Parts: sequence; C-alpha cells; structure tokens
Amino acid sequence: MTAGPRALALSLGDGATALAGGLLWLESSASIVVADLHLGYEEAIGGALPLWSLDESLQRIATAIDAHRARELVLLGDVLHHSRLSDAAGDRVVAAMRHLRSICSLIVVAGNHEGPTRGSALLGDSVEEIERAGMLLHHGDHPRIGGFRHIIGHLHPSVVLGGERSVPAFLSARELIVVPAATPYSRGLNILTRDCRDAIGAYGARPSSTQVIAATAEHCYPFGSIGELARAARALRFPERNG
Amino acid sequence: MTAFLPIFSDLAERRDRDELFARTFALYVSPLRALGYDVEHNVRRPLREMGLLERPNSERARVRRGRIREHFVRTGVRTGDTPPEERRLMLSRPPHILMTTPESLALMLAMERYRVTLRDIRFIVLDEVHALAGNKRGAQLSLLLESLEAFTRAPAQRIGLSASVAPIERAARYLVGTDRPYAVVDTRALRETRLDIRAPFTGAMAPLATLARSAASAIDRAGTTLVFTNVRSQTERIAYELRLLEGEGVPIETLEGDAAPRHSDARIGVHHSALERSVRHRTEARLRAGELRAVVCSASLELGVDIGAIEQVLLIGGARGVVTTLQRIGRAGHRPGDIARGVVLAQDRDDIIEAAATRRCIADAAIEEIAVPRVPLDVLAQWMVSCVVPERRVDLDELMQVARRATPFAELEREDLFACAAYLGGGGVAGEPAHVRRIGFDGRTIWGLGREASAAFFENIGTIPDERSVPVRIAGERSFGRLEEDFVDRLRVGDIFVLEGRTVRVESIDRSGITTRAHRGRPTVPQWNSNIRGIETPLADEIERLRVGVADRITAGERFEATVWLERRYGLSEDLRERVVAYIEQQLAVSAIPRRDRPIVEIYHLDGLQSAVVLTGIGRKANEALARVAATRIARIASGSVRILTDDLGIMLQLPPRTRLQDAQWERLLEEEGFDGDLREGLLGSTLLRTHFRYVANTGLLVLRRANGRSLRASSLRWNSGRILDRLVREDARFPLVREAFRSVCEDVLDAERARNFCASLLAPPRILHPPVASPMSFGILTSSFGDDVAVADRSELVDALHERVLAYLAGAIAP
Repeated sequence: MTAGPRALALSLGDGATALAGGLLWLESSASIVVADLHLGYEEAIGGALPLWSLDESLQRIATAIDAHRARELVLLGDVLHHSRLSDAAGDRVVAAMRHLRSICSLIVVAGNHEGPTRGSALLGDSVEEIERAGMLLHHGDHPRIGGFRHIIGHLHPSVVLGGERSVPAFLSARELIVVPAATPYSRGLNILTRDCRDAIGAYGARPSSTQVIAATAEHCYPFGSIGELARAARALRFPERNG
Repeated sequence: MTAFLPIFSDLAERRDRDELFARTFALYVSPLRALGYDVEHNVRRPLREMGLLERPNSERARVRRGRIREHFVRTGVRTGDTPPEERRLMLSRPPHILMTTPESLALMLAMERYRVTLRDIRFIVLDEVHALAGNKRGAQLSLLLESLEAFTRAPAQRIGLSASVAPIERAARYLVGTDRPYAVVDTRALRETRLDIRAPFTGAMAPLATLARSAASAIDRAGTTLVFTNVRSQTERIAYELRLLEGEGVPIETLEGDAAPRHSDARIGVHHSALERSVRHRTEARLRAGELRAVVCSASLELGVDIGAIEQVLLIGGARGVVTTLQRIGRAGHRPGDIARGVVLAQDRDDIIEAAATRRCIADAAIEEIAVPRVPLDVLAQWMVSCVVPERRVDLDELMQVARRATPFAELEREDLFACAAYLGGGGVAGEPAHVRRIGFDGRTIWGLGREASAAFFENIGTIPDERSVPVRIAGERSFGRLEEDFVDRLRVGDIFVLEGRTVRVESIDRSGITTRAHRGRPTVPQWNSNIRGIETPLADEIERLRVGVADRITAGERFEATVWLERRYGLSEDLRERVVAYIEQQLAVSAIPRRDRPIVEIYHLDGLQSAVVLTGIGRKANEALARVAATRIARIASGSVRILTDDLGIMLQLPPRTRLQDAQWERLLEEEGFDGDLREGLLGSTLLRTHFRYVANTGLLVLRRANGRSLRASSLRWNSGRILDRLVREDARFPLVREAFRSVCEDVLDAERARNFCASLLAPPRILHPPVASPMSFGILTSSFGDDVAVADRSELVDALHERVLAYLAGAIAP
C-alpha cells in the first residue's frame, strides 16, 4: 500500500485493516484493537475538565463494535492514564468496562501507565501480550525484534499539521503495525522525528518501508512511507512552525 | 519620598503618644520586588536621622499595660524572595512600614495570622501606578485593597505615585476605587527632556553592525550609557557587535570545547529579563559602581531600580511609545536640573518618522492613555477563593458590594460573580459535575474547603503569565541565561544563537535545559520576538499626520513646503527632512499613502502565492484584530489557511495555494458588518487565544501551574489548556474563563474596538493597488516571517489539504 486517495478503511496486510477513527480491525478474530485510551486524563491534569473523553471513547468503540459485528475488543495498553484515580472516576471506569464486557469479549493488554498493579482494581485481569493471526499484540513499551509482526500502541504516532494541530496516524511495515492513540488529549509523536524513527527501528522497521496512514474520525489518509513524507515535508515546507 | 512624609509624621506622633503598637501602619506596594528594597533603603535614612529607626538588636518591644508598645520604627520587605525566618519574625514583630508586591499582599490577606497585623493600616502607597492600573496585576491589587479596607479599623489613605500616566483622572479613580474622593498633586514638567535623532545609514535601512558602530562612537563620546532595544534578541546582537568593536570577550571555540568566554571584566553589559537574576544583579551593581561603559538592555531597566549615574541614553530604533520614551530617557541625568537626554538611532526611515512624531507628542504632552481592564473574571475567581481560604464563609451579595468598589470591577454583573462561584464550586461546566472544586458554593454563600484544598490557591497566587524559561549553560558550567520555552521549542541541535553577548552552538536540549558550546561565527537562529511593543495612540495618530501632511504637500507640488513643515512641526534637520520627503515620494511613486478614512491594499505575488499588504496606520494592536477579521473572511472564500503578519503600519495576508481574490473581493475585506463575529471566529483555534486562555486558566485556578510543590512542565500546561479550551468552546462557550479569554484578547491584547471603529469610519472602500515592486512602506512587513495563521477551524480540512499536496508532490505534480 502506498500513497493514495483517502478511504474509510485501508488494508495493512495479514487481515489487519486501519479504520477511520484510529481503530484497527483484525479480520480472522473479528477484533477491534484500540490503543492508548488514557482514561482519567482529565483528572490527572488537575481535574480542570469532567471525564469527557471517557464517554466519548466508549461511544466510539461501541459504535465500531456494532458496525463491524466485532466479537472481541482488545485494549492495547495505557487504558488508564494513571492507576490511581479518585473513587468517583474509578467507578465510572469500572462501569465502562462492565458495559464493554457486556457487548463483546474484552481483552486488556497492560501498558506502562497502568503501573505494576496493571490497574487490575479497575480494569480486571490483563495480559502482557496475545497472538492473533500470527501477529503479536502488546503495548510496545518493551521493543523486540523478529519472530512476529508486532501490533503495538504506546508511540502515539501523529502527522503534525502545523502549530499545535496534529492528526493521529497508523504506521505499518512488514515488521510491525503501530496503532494511533485513541485519547483526544495527545498531540502524539511526530512521525518525522528521530524519536519515531528510533522507536520503529527497535522493531527492525525502516522509514523507507514504513507506511503512514493518518486517521481522522471520518477518513484514513495514506501518506506514503515515512521517507516519502519526510521528503515532501522538506520540499513543501511543512509543518509550518507558527506563532 | 515625599509620599512618606505624612507616614513619618504619623509614626513620630504615635511614638510620642506611646501608641506605636506592633502593627503595620503603612503599606507600600510596587510592581517590582527590587523597588521595595530600594525604597526601604531610602526610607530608613530619614527615619534614622529623625531618631525613629530601630537599631538592630538594641531595642526590644516593651510590654506595658498588657499591650505591646514600642519606641522605634521598623521597616520590612515582604516579597516572594523573603526568607522563611524573616517571614516568621515579621509575624511576631510586624514592620511598621511594610514594602510588598501585589502577589505577596494577596498571600498575606489570605492568612489570618497576617491579617491581624494589617488591621491598623493607615496609609497605602502605590508606586508606579501606570504599571499596575492597566493590567491584571493591578486589577487584582484593586480587589485586594478593597478586601483590606473591609477589615481595617478605619479607612486608610491611599497615595498613588507615577512619573508618567494619562489620563490622571483615570489613574486616580483606579487608585481610590469607585466611591471615594481624591485629590491630584501634579508636579509634571519639573524635568526638561531632549530627544535627538540620528540616522546612521544612507539607503533604506541600517544593518545592525552599522547601528552598533554608531552606538559605539556615541558611547566613546559620553560617559556611562544605557542602550535600549525593543526586542530582546536585538539586545544580544547589539552587545555582541559592541564587544567586537571593543575587542573584548569575543567567544572563541577551541578544539577541547572548553572556551567558555568570560565576560566578568567586559565593559559592555547586557541586561534583559531572560538572564539569570544573579547575572542581572551583577550588571546593576557594576553599573552603580561605574565599572561599565554601557549596558545594552530591553525593557528590564526601564522601571525604577536604582542604577546610578547615567550620562546618556540611546534608543535603538526608537521606543514605540511616548511614555516608554520618557521613561527610558528619564534614566539619564538624575541630578536636579539635569536634562533627560536621549538619542534615537534610527534603523530605517520609519524610525525617523516615529522619532519625529514622538518628539512632537512629548512637546504636546500627548502620552498613551492607560486602559483599566474591564471585569477580568479570572482575577475575580482567584480573589473569591482568596476571600474564603482556608475555612471562611462569605455571602456572595456582600462580596459583590466589596468587588464593585474596585474600579476595574465597577461594572461587575451579579450573574458573572455567580457564574464564577458555580465554576469554582465544581459544578460550572455544562451542568455536569467537574472534578475541580476549589470552594464550596450553595447558591448564596461560598466557603473554603480546608487547608488541603486551599493549597491550590496558595501555590498559584498571582496573575503574571507564566512564561516558562529554560536554563542555558555551557557544557560543564553553571547556566548563564534563560530562553523562553516557546523559543526553545523551535531550537534544534546545531543551531547557533547569541545570549548574553555570547555566541553559542546548541549541543543538546533536554528537560534540564540547553547545553551549548562557545562558537565563533554568525548566529543561524532568527530572532525571537517576545516583548514587541506596538505603537498606539497618540503616537500612531501623529505618525499618520506626518505622513499625510508630507504626502499632501508633495501631491500638490509643494515639495519645498513639505520640508519647511517638517522643520517647523517636528524640528527635523535638513538631512532628515530630505530623507523623510524622499521616502514618501518613493511610496507615492509605486503606491499611495494610506489615510484613516481610506486605507490602501497592495497586492503582491510572493512564492507564487497572492499576498496583500493592507496599510492602515492604526497601530499594531488594532492591526492584529483587523488581520484576524480579514483572514477569517478570506478563509471563507478560499479553502486552506490564510497566514497573517502584523506590524504598526499594517497587516499582511497570504492566501493558500491556487487561490486568488479579485479586486472587488479585496475591497469588501474591511466592512464593519459582522466584525465581532468574524473576529471571534478568527480567534478560535489561534495560538493567540490558546496562549491567553492558558494564562486565564492559570489565574482563574482552572489549570494549576503548581501542585503539590511541583511546577507543571510548560509544554504540558500549554497542551492541557489547549485541549480544555477546545472542549469548553464546544460544550460551554459561556464558561466564565472562556469569556474572559476572549475579552482579554480582544480588549487587552488586541485593540478590537479601535479596529472596529476604523472599519466603521471608512468613507470609501480601500484603494486596491498593484505595485510593480514592494512599496517602501510594505517592505518591512513583506520581508518578515509569518506569525499566527488563521485557518478554517476544522482539522479534517487541514488534513485534506495537506494530503492533497503530498499526493501531488509524490506524483511529481509539484516541483520541490
């Protein structure tokens, strides 16, 4: 898959499909994969906002499960922004998990934000990794090379549009798929930075063969490889660094 | 010092009557910490001479008839710098005269232990009123003074001091509040001022190095010199050039990288707010000691800290304001009878015009007017919390009465006070309980939630925007300066920049700061534009009068009369008159001279993009507002983001690719109809609004800068408040702090009213011109780099546009 017109969904090979809204669909197990929800973020930043992102994310996931008739939901780590939430916020997370379990099979993969307790009090049991269709799904905070095509979250890849605006993006290579962060509160990791190249390099993936698919709520945008996008960025001088 | 005479007298009488209790009787508040120390120093001398001053450790308070009375007067300074042991001492033995800042006063008033010591205050001296009345710190102070008044035994006399403030009545009304009488003591015109203009260039403008050479020869001719610049980065560049010319301390890189240039004995100092405090203090001390030939500074040396005898003040490029000019040249010649003398070193021909107009304004005593902020709700919210911490309860109707006595809150609506209470009470956001709950609120009263919950207030007192900075060090050494985080965000390893006159190359950037290495060679990083000041009325009006006056005479074939007029009205020398006339002639040759009632729009094509310069002459703050309105209107016709740039002369708009507007469309750009709505739309999603919402959210205690003894990283603060603003705008646009962000941007930062009035008063649509080359008036703005952009607010449209461009590029349709 290379740069091309925008679409509602784009295949990433091996039965994996990038969906608008930044969700990953796995055909063989009929799974929806969601990374980095960071629930409770509002509380962690000093409680300046109600837990808006919780309801919103829940709604989005439930809609996708319904639309794709998913049998399984995989939350790919960093489901919680912090393992210690207030009782009120914790209750709402527990209720959300209960609701998700009622509509499909729920698998929670542990992430670094859940801490040593793995957020078990709120999220229930979690796993460190699972295998689906010959691919290994884990959060991605402990990179490894070989054996599998990895499906990870953790990196929050994004295409920076200029200023503070950015759009979450999938990264897809033979070695791995990076699912963008579902939290609306992350600017993400600019895929054109060295940090991003190093992070995917830890899985053996190269910029020239790693495809970038930006995902808004409505569409997926195949931007070509990181290498191609970097060239275009230099030539077209984006992202604009403004004010 | 005169302001303290009644205080001395009162204290002396008290002592004689044996009524000098251990209480504070006089409060001195200034916007600068350093001023407090200066003034304390100055006050102690007469007290000592009157035999009133307590000698250290020699006298102890005496207990008689169950009350503590004393024989000698104590003074003290309470600021954020006051060490804890001194604070404790102040509680047990309060200074009779206490110097403080608005922030420390807020802290003291919120603590019962301090309030007890402040109940007998009889005098309140407010120094540098002009530096407070027009901003949020001043608004906060005005509320605090009303709080104070509400619990002191008798009303205190308020004494305001200012060297240059207009209109005086407005400042006085700010000082005394809405319902008290006042008297004005006007001692202006005691000092003579003189402003000379030099233009050390022949063409259109002077390179910085030429300016520095001219400054150097002026420094050679006179004694200690202050060199003021308008932009901090220019401070660094000028100092760099001056040191080169002096042949001193030019940093040289060695192979070992251990070439930390030592400037301790350099005779050209640098002073600006990005430098470490110790570096600034050392420079001030060396200046006082007469060890420096010159100090290059930005606004940091403008206000009253004592800096010793200054012989000469140079203003690089002018000072962008009449008050600022007076303050800056007022630093020279401090002996009675001395003339305050300043020299403008013009960088280009606009500077000559500005300096000439400034001189005229000074002669006419026409100076910028202060504008007291109107009901800043973030300040109100913080004050409301301060009134109930840690566990007090107040009735909102009573609070309303107290607040409305403060001039900035004269128009406070009951509804706004209650909206703030509802927000602070945790239920203000779209009817859903938010997590933040700073105080209790039951619809009628508010109360504090105890010591722990009050920490949010005590850790976040104040209204000063938190422009975080990052330390800069040479590898292996202590830091020598600081850079704003916003600037650091744009730095990369390998960049070369100048700070404190040193040229350094970035080696690494991390959380703890920037590590650099001394470097030889020209800086690669463009200037960072913090502290740019805009020209406002009356100077902007005078500049326009000059331009139009000359243009009219030239057009009427009266070139000679134009030069005569320039001499008569502005006192310009023959050389400068010629240059101004030639400049206007050149402008007329390719374009026209804008007028208030008939601005001009010059259309250019830059890098294949249609760009327009709208010359208005209404000053930067109003132009900023106008630019956003115009860009919003264009964005509605064209899809993509419109880039904007503003300066004092006008605005520049650059259209997205493949978009062209017809002349008739440009003509309709400045219509008054829909101005407010378009401005609001243009501000949504702008960096400007985000930045100011961040400040408002900090002051209004929605987003805390510090929690549990730790400061949040500025990048997180910036990001968090950006998200919060986006959400609030969508869910609850009436949220008090969202409204305040819009208000402060439109009224305090931009001058929306002036821009709207400008649009309303146009007699005809603007003239659309297509100059064959950049017109002289547009040259500056055309060659600057872009500021904010006003985009179609929807992110998907931006992605669409970017995706389309990248596809076209990858398909070879756009040549790199």
